[in-house]
Amino acid sequence: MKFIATRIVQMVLVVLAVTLLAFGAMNFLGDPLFNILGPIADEDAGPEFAEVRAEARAEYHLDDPFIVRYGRWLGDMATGDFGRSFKNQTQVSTEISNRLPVTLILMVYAQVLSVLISIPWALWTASRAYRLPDKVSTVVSFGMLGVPVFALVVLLFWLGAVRWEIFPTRYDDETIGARLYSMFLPALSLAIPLIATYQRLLRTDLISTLQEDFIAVARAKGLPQWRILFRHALRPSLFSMLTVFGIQTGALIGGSLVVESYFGIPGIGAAVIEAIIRDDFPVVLAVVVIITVIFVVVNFIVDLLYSFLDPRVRLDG
Amino acid sequence: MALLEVNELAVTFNTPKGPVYAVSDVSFAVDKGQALGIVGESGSGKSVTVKSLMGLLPRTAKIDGSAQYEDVDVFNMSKERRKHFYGVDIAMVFQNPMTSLNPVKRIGEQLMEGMRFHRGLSRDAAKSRAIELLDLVRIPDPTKRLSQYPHELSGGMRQRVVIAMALANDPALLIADEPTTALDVTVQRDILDLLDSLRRELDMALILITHDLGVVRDRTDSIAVMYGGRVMETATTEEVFADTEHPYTQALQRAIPDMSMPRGTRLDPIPGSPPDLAITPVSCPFAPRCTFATDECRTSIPPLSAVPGSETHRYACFHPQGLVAAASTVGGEA
Repeated sequence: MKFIATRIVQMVLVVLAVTLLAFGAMNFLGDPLFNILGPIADEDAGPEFAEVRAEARAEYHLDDPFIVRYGRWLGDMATGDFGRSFKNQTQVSTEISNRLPVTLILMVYAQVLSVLISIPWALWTASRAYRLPDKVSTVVSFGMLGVPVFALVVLLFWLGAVRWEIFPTRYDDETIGARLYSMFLPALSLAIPLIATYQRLLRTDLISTLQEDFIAVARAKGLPQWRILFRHALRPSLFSMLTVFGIQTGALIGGSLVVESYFGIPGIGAAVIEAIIRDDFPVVLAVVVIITVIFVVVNFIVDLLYSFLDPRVRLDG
Repeated sequence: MALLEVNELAVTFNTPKGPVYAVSDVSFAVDKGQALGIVGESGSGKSVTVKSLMGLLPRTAKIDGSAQYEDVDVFNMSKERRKHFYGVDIAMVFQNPMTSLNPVKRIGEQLMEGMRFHRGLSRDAAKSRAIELLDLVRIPDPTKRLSQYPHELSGGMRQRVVIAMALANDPALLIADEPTTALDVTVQRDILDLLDSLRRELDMALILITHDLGVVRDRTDSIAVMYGGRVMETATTEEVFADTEHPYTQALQRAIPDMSMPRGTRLDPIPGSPPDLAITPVSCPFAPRCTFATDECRTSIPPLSAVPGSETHRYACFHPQGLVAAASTVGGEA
């Protein structure tokens, strides 16, 4: 329990630090008023806009000290209010709640694909370590690691949707099935580097676990190979992979920006790119906060899972 | 009728630097319910010998010779026979109990999986059998142990669990590979005595591997002394101690501490170190460390010869010490 409490305090501090940095950057790098009003924010634009400027200053509380504005923004966020978009005056929270689930589905989809493909692949290669199938797998997985996401999306789209016409070219959210079907290529684009990363890590850990005495003991018990791999070798070998699973969540969010824009998926990735181009700070800030929270929470869960993987890891240590 | 008969076993490892002759020309037999001690120092090939029998050697190992277990040709078993052979007919206990148990699985689960796989026992049946086994290896409070993890048990307790695991399907032959080397001295004796009494209770054959000739003296029916991957001397335990032929066996005997020796007596170590097994063997492996070695020993490999008048006693030496001594006595009288 002490461990959990400490971690929760740490998580809150991380989120606070990130929000402070992000909010500070958005307010001090450039002029918020300019971002709201555009060229008429300038004093030289003419006295006829003075009233508009004053209104905007009042509405966005731009004359308050920074710390007060930061506190108000935090407080509003705690109640689910992310403010209004500078550009189209809609509530950011409405926009987010429409788009966030789409991105989350994409991320979970990509992680599930990665885990489901990488674990059997790693088991298969580790039990044939340094033999031909393993050597071929090494080449393939380094290839998968080396291809950048932007090239991958183009390649997969062309192959899967244009050339072979297996998958739809457009995002479709009519039914859950249609959604998963149309999101397969985007999820796979995100998953491919992850699959390779997980396969490399898990394979290495499995090879060393398979050298352990308790594996020889399991063999001497006459258990079949598949059972030894799944029941004895897999669980103690998952540590590195799990750690990277947590860290990769961050990279996944970055990757989803590219993938969502390319495949036309209405997630927060697509929204944030638009918002950055248009200096729409409330949207950018909201997305930064959400990404931070997701990242921190996933890594917290990863920490809890260590003790599930190995009973010798005690959480109160 | 021997339960297990090993004939001219040879194990060669193909390494990038060339072949390593880990085991050469090893033959021995174990009868039903009997105990065989395989004695030798590190690198003598005793572990490789039993690992080859257990099918635990890596793919780089090339195995020649034969091993016959009842009607089973161990090195050429059918897939069907193999499925329920290890862990059922032959089981094994390993050297280090600290690493022999899976750290992330409960004791009960590890005890039960073998019987459930080989015998298809229900969970409840397997559980009561597991409790019975823990009781058999004299672990107090067996029911509680089932839900514990290995790290919650001491080394001696863990080795008892490993033994219980090996006994799960009533094997006719148990192989114990230096089962006490990694344990505290005070616990070693308990484990050895436990193995000995289990063998009698369950009428099970035992191959006990050790580097300590003293360990097998009172606990085995016969002994095979190994050195450099070869059998140096093999006989009934009685014969080995009463009429030692091989200089290496003699040297091992001098290295056994004896409580009746006067205070301050030094044990006699064997000078030198074990042979390099990567060199094609052309001589007696013990020759460089042997005080009786002659040119013959350095240029040819002594074959296993029988001691006259004994069915069981064989030695691989050109200068059998017992026979030489007997001959000189006879010669002196003449």
